[in-house]
Order: sequence, then structure tokens, then C-alpha cells
Amino acid sequence: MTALTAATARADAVTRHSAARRGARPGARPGARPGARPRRPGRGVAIRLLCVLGCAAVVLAGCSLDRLATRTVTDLVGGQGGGDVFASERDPQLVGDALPFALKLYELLLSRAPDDPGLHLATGRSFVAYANAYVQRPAEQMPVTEIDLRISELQRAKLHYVRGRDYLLAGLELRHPGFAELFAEPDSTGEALAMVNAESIDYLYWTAAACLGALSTDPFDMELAITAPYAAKMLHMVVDWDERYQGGAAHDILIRYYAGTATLLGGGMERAEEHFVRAVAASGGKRAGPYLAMAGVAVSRQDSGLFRSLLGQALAIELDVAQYRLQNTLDQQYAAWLLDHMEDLFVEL
Amino acid sequence: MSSNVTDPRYRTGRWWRRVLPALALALCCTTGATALTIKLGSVAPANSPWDLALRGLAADWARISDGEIEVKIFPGGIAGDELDMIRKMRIGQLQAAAMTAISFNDIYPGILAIAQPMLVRTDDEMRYILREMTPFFNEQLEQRGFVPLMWAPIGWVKFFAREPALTADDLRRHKLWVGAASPAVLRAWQRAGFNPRAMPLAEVITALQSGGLDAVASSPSAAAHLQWFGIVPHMTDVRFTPLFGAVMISKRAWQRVPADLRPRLLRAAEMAAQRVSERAYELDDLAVLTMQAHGLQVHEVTAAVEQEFRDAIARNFGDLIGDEIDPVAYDLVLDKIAAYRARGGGN
Repeated sequence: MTALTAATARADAVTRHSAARRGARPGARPGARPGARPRRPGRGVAIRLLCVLGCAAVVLAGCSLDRLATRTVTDLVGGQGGGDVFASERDPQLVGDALPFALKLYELLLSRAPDDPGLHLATGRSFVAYANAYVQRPAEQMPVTEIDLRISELQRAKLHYVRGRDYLLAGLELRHPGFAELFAEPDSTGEALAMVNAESIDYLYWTAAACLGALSTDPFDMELAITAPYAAKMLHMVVDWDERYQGGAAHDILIRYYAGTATLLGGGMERAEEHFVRAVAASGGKRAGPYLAMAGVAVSRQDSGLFRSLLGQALAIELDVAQYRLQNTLDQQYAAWLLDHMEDLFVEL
Repeated sequence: MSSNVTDPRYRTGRWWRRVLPALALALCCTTGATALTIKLGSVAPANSPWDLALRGLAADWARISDGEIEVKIFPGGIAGDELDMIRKMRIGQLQAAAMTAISFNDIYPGILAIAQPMLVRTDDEMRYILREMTPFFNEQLEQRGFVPLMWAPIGWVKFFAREPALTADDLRRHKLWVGAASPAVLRAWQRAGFNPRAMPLAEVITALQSGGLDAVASSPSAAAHLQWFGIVPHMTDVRFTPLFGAVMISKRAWQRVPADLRPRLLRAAEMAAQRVSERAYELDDLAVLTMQAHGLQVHEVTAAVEQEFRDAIARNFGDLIGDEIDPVAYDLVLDKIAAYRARGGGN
């Protein structure tokens, strides 16, 4: 049994166990929450009556109810709780299927509440996460014969990264008026970043992830390449403010940044290694991300032993920490795929 | 499963006579799916236009050979730098590599005849000369165990300086990075009155930041991508030397490719070269526009200044012919240029 199937089986077993523990009622509707009562005859009449009353209330209340509803949903998705629902999910496919709808819902809500920075954050980070986990990564796993699809999917990933970045920058502008104008000019980008304080840490992290993610899909996009050092600066601000932010997730990106083209920009493998150590420490070894990022360094060095060891550690991580569960599951799937394709990564095996 | 164990045929040990041929056939089918694997190294970053073009070539070759040839791309320099890749091709660890002409000179010291500073003047002239020289270069490389699959002009080296360099004298006042140049090339620069510095690519940004360098000879794409232009924001718009690249396969690996497939594979490579070349020129143009939007100043040079550069270079780089560059190749290039210009090309 591969580590991936073991991980999946473990997740399935936990799901079954949890369902049994909560005691799903016999006869419950498919898809109904566990414990829900079976549908009773005549109940539909009551529901229809409620709908009529609801419609009447909407007509009577008019725009104020509309604003209230928008406000309520906005608070839900813009607050931390919205993200947790996704982050703790055991089934990556469920999230992948749900995200496109969620992205459009966020955009719909933004059209109603354009001045809500939290909603910009939720929208931006969702686009970035979707581009990374559900567009770019699958594209990079496509066989060489699927080159046309790979190229078009990479273009889609870039589109969504950039879209996410723009929402996040708009959110930063709402929180720090004047930021956007300064950020747009290369001479004053540093000044723009100096306006941002630790309370905007989420915005900086996701904006940096968006910039560098987009660049990784098209490394010769000059506009994106020019923003790369600023993105790195944002990540350094994040770890300076909070070394353990999202279990050290900013370090994961810095590992890739310094091990990648940044080597020619004054970075290098030593800095990548430093961020790996800090990432593992920040997560207490509970996230697969640092090991996966460092596995990229092992590929650069053509060190297959280190590569196997790092991915083995990534696969051994338990899926017990809710806030890392979805990302760890996705990373473990990717780690298993990488181990199965080592001959495509190492010249000598 | 248990019924098999109790089957008399299995108990008597005859079962293997039936199973082994089937197993052998299955293994043949599995391993025969890809008869030839070609490992191709490249320093182009993953997902860059060059990387995707190479992957497109790999897909074409898989289609043309009906899956018999699998090209595995190793991007981003993971197979080593260009000289490492040549070494690995020689010992069979790699079968193919995409690289720039400078590295090819390590195999045959005549390739750079075409890239002598200020010798070739225009894009059309470069395409013509490269096309005309290809049979000669291919023959020379084949004699040394390498088969070029495609050649592609990919732009021009220009100067990026801390202060405006509107004349050769202006540039002489700068500490100029000229790549990882050999001592002979450095001496040629010095004879021409310049202040050259040779160092690996990875050290350039630090040297620019510390004042160890204040000008670079570079393509616009590299100056933008590597963030150099922020420190050296004045581009002297002179076509200093043409850049071109190629994909090579070891002769040993090429001989394993079925002969009837080779013409179609080469045609696919030529098409890929054309796409790469067009995209490279587009990217250079885009790079200049992007850098201009972020503060780069482009300085056009007059015909007189261009001639001044040419005179300074021609007088002093001539000594490299014979020491660093095969004179046969150089004379051939001069003949082709003369023929091209006599026909009304150039300028």
C-alpha cells in the first residue's frame, strides 16, 4: 500500500468513525446532516408557507434586508470561520468542486459590498488557493503529450493568481488609503509597504503568494518578475511580525523563492535551508509544506536520497490538526505523485 | 486463490511453464512501450517559454514516433550548467541539451565566429548567416559526437549602464561585465580601451549592488528578469553581438533513433526553433517596454557612434581568430556576410 492510499484510507476510516459516533439516523435523506430527522408527509406545505412569508418579508423590508443578508454572508465568508470550513476539510475533491462556486459567490458579494476589506481578503486568498492547488499543480502533473492543455491550464492559473492579487491589493488600499498609488510606482513600493502594519498580515501573505505563484506559471512575465523582490519583502515582514504565522507557511514560499531564480538575485540554497528549518520549527512538524518545498531544493541538487527522505516525512504527517488538514492532504497526494515520478526529476537514478 | 494452490497442475510444478511465457510477454509489452528515452537538459526555468517549447517538441516526437521515443525534459539547470550538460552528454548521462552558442564553442571553437562583436548587423542578416552556416557547423559538431537538432537566433546583447553611455568613450568609463569571458577575450576588451570584468552570472547582482560593476553586456530579457536594470538603468541601443541557441543530441543517441523517423523529427525541431526564435524577440521587445515603464532610459546611437564601436572592436578582437575561434569558420562567415551584403541585404 502506498503512503497515499494509506493516508486516504486513514482519512476514510476517520470519517466513518466520526459519522458512527455522531449517530446518523436510519432513513435520513442522502446528503442530510447526520442526526437529521427523516422527511415527514405534510412538511412540504409548511416549507412552502414559510417561503411565501419569507418572500413577503423581503418585499416589505426591501433593500435593508438585502443589505443585512449581504452583511451576514460577508461576515461569514470574510471572517476566519469561512476559511476554516475549507482548511479542515478531509476531502480535497469536495473543496475543489465547491471552490469555483464559492469564488463567484464572493465576487457577487463584493459587487454588493465593495468597501469590505475582509471580503476582498476572502476572495483574493480563495482565488490564490484555487489557482495553486486545483489548476497549477494538476497542470504540472500532466503527461508531456498533454502539452497544449498544460499550457492553457498554466495560463488559467496565472489569470486566477493575478485576479486574487488584485482583490488583495484592493483590500490593502481599503485598510491603508493611499497604498495602491504608492505600490504601483517602483520608486515608492517600499513606502507603500511601510504603511502596512501587523494587523494586515493576512493581506501581505496572500498578496505575496499570489505574486510569486503567478510568476511561477510564467517566469518570463517581466511585470511579474519585477514584483518578485517586493513579494519576498512582504513575506519577510510576515515572518518578522509572526514567525509562526499559519504554521510557518510564509517560510515555505521563501524556500522556493531562494532556491529558484532568486539564486541569481542574491538568494541561494543556504537561505532556502534556513527557511526550511524555521518552517519546520514553526509548524512543530505538523505541516507537509516545508518538506515538499525543500524537496524542490533536493531536485535542484539532484540529491535523490534527500528527496525521498523529505517526502517520506511529508507522508508520515498525521492529518489530525484541523487547520492544516486540507493542505496536508493535498501535499501528501502531491508527495506520493512526486515519488512515483522520480525518474522525471533526477537525471541519474 | 486457494483453488489454484490445490489445482494438480500447480502442485506438480508445471504451472510455471504456462505462467512464465505470459509474464515475459507482458514485460515485453510494458518495456516496449517506450523504446528510447532521451534525457534533455536545459537551463531555462520550468514553465518558461523555452521550457514549454521543449515540452512541445517532446510531445511532437512522442506523436511522430507513436510513443517509441520519450523525451524527458530536465529544466532549470537541474542537469547542471551548460558545460556540465556537455560533459554529461559525453559520458551518456544525458542524451540531449538545449544551450547557447557560447557553450557550443567548447565543443567546436568556430561557432562563435558568427557572434563576433559588431560583425553581424541586422536580424535578417543573422538569420541568413545562421542558415548558411548550419551545414558547416552541423558537420563540425557531428565529427565531435554531437548532432544539432535545431538552431535559433534569440536576440541581441546590448549595454546597460549606470550612467548614459552614448559613445564608446562613455562606456569605457564603466566597469563592464562581459560574461564568464576567457583571459584572451578580456585582453581583447582591454586592448579596445574598455574596463571589462568577468564573473559568473550568479555574482553579477551582488557586484552591481556593491559597485564592483556598473555596466553589463546583456539581452534585455535578462536585464529585466534578473532585476539588473534598476541599478543600470541606461540601455545603449546598439546590436553588440547576436545571441543564438541550439538543441543538440549525442550522436550515440541519434543513431538509436529509427532512420525513417529522423527527417520528421528534425522537421518538428525546426518548427519548434522558429517558435522559440519568434517568442524570444517578442520577449525582448516586451522587456524593453516593461523596463521603460519602470524607469529604463533607452539611448539610440547614431551611425557614427555605431561605427566608432565597430572600429574599436574590430581592431582589437581580431587576435581571437586562431587562438579562440577557428579561422576556417571565421573566413566562411565573412564570405557569407559579403555575399549577403552584395545582394543588397544588410543595414
